[in-house]
Amino acid sequence: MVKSVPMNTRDVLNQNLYPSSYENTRRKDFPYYDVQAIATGTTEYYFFVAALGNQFARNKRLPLSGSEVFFIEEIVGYIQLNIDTVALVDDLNELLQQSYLEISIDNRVVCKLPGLDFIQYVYGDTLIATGTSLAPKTHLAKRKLPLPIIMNSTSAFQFKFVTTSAAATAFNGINLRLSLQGLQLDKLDSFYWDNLKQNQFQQVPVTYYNTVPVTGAGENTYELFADASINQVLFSQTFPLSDIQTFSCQNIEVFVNQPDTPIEPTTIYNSRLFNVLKIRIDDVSYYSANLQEMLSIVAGFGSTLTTTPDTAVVNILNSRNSKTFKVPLEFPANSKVRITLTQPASSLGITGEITVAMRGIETRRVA
Amino acid sequence: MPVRRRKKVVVNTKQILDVMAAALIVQKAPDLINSFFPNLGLDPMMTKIAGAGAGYLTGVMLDRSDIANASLALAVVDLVSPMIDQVIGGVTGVPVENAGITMQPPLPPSNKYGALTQTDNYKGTGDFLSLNDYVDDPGVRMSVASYRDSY
Repeated sequence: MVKSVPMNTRDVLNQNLYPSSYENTRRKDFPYYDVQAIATGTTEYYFFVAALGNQFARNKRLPLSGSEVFFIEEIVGYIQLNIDTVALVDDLNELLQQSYLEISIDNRVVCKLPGLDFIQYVYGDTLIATGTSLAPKTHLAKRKLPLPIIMNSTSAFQFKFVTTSAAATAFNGINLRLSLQGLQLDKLDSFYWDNLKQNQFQQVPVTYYNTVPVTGAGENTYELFADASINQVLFSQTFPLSDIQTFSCQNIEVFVNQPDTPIEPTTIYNSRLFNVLKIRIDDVSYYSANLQEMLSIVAGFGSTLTTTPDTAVVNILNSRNSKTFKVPLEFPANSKVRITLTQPASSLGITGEITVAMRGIETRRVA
Repeated sequence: MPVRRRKKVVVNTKQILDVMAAALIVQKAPDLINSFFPNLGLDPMMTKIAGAGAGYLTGVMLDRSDIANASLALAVVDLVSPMIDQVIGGVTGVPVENAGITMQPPLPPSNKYGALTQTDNYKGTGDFLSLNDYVDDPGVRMSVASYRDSY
């Protein structure tokens, strides 16, 4: 009887990266970073393709050499601009909800991560007249991968960031930095290592996200992950899954932004908190609860202090929360899935977008 | 009636050793081949034939006909045994009655790709090859302790 071959790349990482001595590799905790300047009219950006030369801009150009293997454990992005006006909060929301980073290995997409997964930013309440930040804060999100993505020596890698034309115009000339945190192996002896060898299936970390516009204040049910004909930046996956993939959902975040006409962010937050998210798989109700454990919001609001002289201020609410499931939600291949978000009548935040992001592990057939 | 004298059974040590050597070669040669040529991806039928071939060649090279003959006999037994199991239900499976027609339990597919070949767990094999069922093999799912820190 032959034992099954483990598919889990976390096991591979632990097996190969943390043994003791007399191994034929050198291990380093080594980040790769690159920067791209956003430009009006350009909605796609490719990282790690520019030539090295400026150490402050990048330290790696892909592909890896034949003697290197890299395990990506965390992905971090940074938009190099202080978010201190309502307009910039609106633009930041486009970057978070309507942009994605697509990682491809050997011409096959591994995952499509929305901006809200990994983009860091600085923001702060501001006095408009002086442009002074009253209380600047940092939001240091990072997309920590439950299973590493393995960059093998011989693989072709592509890191493509896609955003909207509105965000490209708003952030024209601003640097967007991407950093891959992980472990690098330098091969001291030459060997060929194939992590997919003899495996029929592989597991990859993914985020399934869908951004839907808020259509009004009345009672409404939003059907999520159901429409593949919308703009590519608004979703990464629809259900049902194909017959060669299954999905294990480990974490869910629901993200709301400020409406087109900003209102006090806490009002939006209190209103959205009790919307109901329902997940049904093959007619079995797997989740039906409000958003109290998983609601995130980034919204700004300008007001005027009643002082002499009148002073305009912008206050920003940045709250990030997500629910990690103790028992992951398992989505089989080809199953009937219905995911809905229902808002009651008189919901506030009458315009804007809602993003539901489901993070977890996808099991799919190799090739 | 005269008493038949039974022939004395002679212990032929040389023959025993030859048959032992043949059995070892037939069983272990496939593993040796896989370790040198891991990308061959041989299925069980081919590995048995490869083992028999290795045993036969060893017998020819060492000029020991017992090794060669025993290798061939053992390989034939390995090939015929599953067929007999199919007919009489074998040790692991029980024939399934269905409207008066007796059907054999499903056999696991050949492990050409080397993955998920737990031959005594049909349901586990079925989950992954069809991907139409829930992934209910806890050995494959990540535990909450291993993914909790990621979010």
